[in-house]
Amino acid sequence: MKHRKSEYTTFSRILTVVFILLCLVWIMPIVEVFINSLKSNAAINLNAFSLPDAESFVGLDNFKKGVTFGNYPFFKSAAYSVIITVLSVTLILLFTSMSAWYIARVNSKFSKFFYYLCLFSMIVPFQMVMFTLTFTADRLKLNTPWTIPIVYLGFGAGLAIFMFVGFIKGLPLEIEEAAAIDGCGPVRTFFLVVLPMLKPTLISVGILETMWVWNDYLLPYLVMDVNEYKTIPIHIQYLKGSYGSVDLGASMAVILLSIIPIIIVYIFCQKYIIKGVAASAVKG
Amino acid sequence: MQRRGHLANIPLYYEYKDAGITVGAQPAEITGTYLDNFRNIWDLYITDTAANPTSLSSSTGDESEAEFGQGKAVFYQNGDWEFANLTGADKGFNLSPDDLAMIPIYCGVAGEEKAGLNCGTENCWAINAKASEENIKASEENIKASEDFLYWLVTSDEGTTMLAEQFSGIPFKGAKDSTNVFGADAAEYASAGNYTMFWAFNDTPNVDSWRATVVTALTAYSADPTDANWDQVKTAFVDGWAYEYGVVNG
Amino acid sequence: MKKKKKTYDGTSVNCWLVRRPIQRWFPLFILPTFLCFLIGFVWPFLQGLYLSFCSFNTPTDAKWVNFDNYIKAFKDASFVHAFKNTAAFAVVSIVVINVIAFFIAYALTQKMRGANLFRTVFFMPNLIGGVVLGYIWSIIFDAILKGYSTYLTANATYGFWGLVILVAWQQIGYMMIIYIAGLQAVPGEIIESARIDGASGWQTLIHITIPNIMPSITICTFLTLTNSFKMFDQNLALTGGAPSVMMEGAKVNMTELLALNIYSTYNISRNYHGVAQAKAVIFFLLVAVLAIAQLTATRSKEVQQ
Repeated sequence: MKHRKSEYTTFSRILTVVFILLCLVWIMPIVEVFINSLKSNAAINLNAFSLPDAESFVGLDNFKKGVTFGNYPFFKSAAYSVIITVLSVTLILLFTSMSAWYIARVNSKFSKFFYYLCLFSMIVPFQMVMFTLTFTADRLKLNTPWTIPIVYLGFGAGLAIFMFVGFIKGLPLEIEEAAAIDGCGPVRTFFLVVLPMLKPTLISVGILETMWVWNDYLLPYLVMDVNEYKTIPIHIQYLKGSYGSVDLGASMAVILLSIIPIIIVYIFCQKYIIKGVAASAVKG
Repeated sequence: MQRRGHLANIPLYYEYKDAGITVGAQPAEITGTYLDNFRNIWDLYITDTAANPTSLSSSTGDESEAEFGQGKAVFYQNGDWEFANLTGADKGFNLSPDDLAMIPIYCGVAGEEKAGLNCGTENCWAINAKASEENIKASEENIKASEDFLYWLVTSDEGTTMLAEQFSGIPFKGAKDSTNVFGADAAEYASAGNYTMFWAFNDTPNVDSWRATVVTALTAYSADPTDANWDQVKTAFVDGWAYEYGVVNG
Repeated sequence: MKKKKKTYDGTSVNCWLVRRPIQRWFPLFILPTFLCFLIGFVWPFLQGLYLSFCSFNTPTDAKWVNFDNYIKAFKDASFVHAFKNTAAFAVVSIVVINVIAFFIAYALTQKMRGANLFRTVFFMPNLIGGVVLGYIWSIIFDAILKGYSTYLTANATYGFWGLVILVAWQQIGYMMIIYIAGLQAVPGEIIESARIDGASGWQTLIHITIPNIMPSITICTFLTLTNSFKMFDQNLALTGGAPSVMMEGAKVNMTELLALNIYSTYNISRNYHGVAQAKAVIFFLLVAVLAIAQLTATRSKEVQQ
C-alpha cells in the first residue's frame, strides 16, 4: 500500500518507529541464538545475553563441535529431513489434487463418503492415532525415510483434499468439457488443463504441508529407528535431553544451522508463503 | 546443585543394607528411615556453599566444578572421571594430584567409619521377550559378545592397562595402578574392607520419574529450608516410590 | 424454452463427457490416495478406538477390559490436572494472541511506511518448528530467571507463562496475516460513511470494522483454540512437563498439557498403554466438540456481506 507522502501523518510516523522497535524485540530470540553460537560455554552459562568479547569469542568452534555432536552428524539429519519433506509434499500434492478433482467432478456416493472422511480427519488430533500408527507402520515397513511419506500422505490427505476440492469447484467446467470434446482423456485433461489452473492452491497447500512435515517431531520419532534415522527436530531434542552436561555452544550452533535454511527460503518466497497462508485460512 | 538427584542414593543404599536387599530385588515400598541423615548432608550442601545460597537452584555442575577448581570450595560432589578435568590444562585448573582426594559421603549413620565410596551405574542389557526367535537369538549373541569383551577388558594385560591409563574405571581385583588418584582412593577403601555403596537406583521403579519428583521437592526445600518443605521431600521419596512401583508392576 | 441453470456439480454436467471417463480412472485418481488414507488414518483410528477398551502391550496381546481404561483415565490426577492446565492455557492464549494480532494487523493496515517489512518479521517465528522454539526459549527463560536465582522448571507458573509467551510469539504473526486479509476486505465506503456520520475512530472500530471481519475472527479463534488444545512439541521441548510433584497419591507433571500427558502415560509402563489410548479417545472427543461448538457459535455471528 503506497501512499502519497502528504498522507503520512505524524501519528503514522510514530507508528513506524514503534514498530521498528517492536520488530527488533521480535527477532531478539533468533539474534540471541546467533550471538551465543559464537561464545564459549562458560560465557553462555554466565550470561546468555552478553555479546561475545575477546575472551568468550570462539569463532566457528561451536559449529565444528555441533555438527558431529552426539555420534550423529547433523548433516545426516538434515538430509533425512529434506528427503522426507520433498517426497511427502510431492506425494501429497500430486495424489490429493488428483483425488480432489475426482471428488469434485464425480458426484457419487463414494466421493461424498471420502470427502466427509477427509473433513472428519481434520479434527482428529494426532495423539488419537499415534500409538496404533506405529504398529501399522512397523508391520508394513513404512519406517524408513523413503517409505514414511506414505504415512504423511495418509495423514495429510484430509486437509489437502478439502482445500483442493474447494478450489476446483470454483473452476469453470467449460474448459474441461472443451478438452473432452477435443478428445483428451481424463489423465491428459487433468495434467494439461486442470493442474495449471490449480497453481495458486498447489502453492498454498504445498507451503502448509512443507511447514508441517519439515517441523514434525512425533511421527518420525515414533515410527523410525531413531538410531539409524534422525530428522532435524529429533536431533535437536536429543541435544537437549542428553545425559550429563549439554554443550550449550554446540547446541546453539546446531539450532542456528537448522533455522538458517528456513529463513533463507522465507526471505525469497515470503510473498508466496504469506499469500498461501491467507488463502488457506479463507478457504477454511 | 543436584538436578538429577544422585545424592538420594545414600538414604536408599542404607535402607537396602538394613533389609539385606542386594542388586536385582525391587522393594514394593521404602520407609525413608534415613531421610533425616539425608537432610543432614543436604543441609550441609546448601548452607556452607561457596556460591550464593539464593542462587543455588539455578547453578550448574560446570559452576560447582569451577568453584572447586579455583579453590573456592573444598568439597564438591562428582565422580572419578573428573580427574582429567581438574588436573588438566583444558579448563585451566591445573590442580596437582597430590592435593586431591575422594572421600565417602558421611551423613551421621552409625558405623559410617567403614563407609566406602558410591559406586555403580544404571546401564543394563535387556532383550524383548516378545521379539521373534531369530531376533532373540541375535540379541543373545550380541550380549555374549559384549560379556566376552568386558571379561577381556578386566583380565587381559592390554585391557587393564587401557582402563588404568585412559579410562578411570571402577576399582576391581587385578586392576592396574592408575595415575587417577580417585581410582586409587576407591581401591584403597575397597581393600581396607570398607563397604562400597552400590547403586541402589538400579532397582528403583521408573528411576528418572521418581528422582524428578524428589528433585522438585529438594529444590523447593533449598529455596526455603523449612520442615514443611522437607515433608514434601519425604512424600516424594516414600509415596513416590510406592506410586511408581504400582505403575510399573500393575 | 426454459433454460436450465448450469450448476457445476458432477451430476448435472454432461455425464458422458466429463464424469464417466474420470470414473473409469478411479484406480489412478482415487485408489493410491484412499489406500494411504486408510493406512495412515482410518485403520489407526479404528484400531485405536478398539484398543482403548483393551489392556495391551502390542495389538497382538490385547485383552478386552470394557471401560476400565476410561475409569482409570478419569480418576488419574495427572489427567485432570493436564486438562485444567490446557483449558487455562487455551483461554489465555486465545485472548493474548488474537488481541495482539488484531491490533498489530489494524496498525499495519493504516497508512504506514514499512508495513510489508514488519509483516514479514512478525510472521517469521511461525516457520520454526515447535521443538526448536521450545529449546531456544527454555534457554532464554533460564537465563532471565537466573538473575532471580531460579530457573524455568522450578515452578509450574514459570512454565505456564513461558509457554504462553513462546506460543504467542510463534502464532501472532500467523493470525495477523489472516486479520490483515480480513481488514483489507472491508469496503472502504463503509468506513468512510461512518467517519462522515461523525463516528470516532474507536466507535468505527467496535461497531463497523469488527463485525465486518467476523469470518477472520472465526477462523483465528478456531485455529488458536485447536492449536492450544493440540499443543505438544512446544510443551515437550520447553519444560517436558517438569516440575513433578506427588498429588493425591499420583505423580503429576505440573506443566503438562493434555497431549503431552497422553504421551507420557503411554511411556510410564506397558500397563498403561490402554489407559493412554483411552485418554487419547477422550482427547479427540474433546477437541471435536470444542471445534464444532466454536465454529457454530461464531459462524452465526458473521455479518452477511
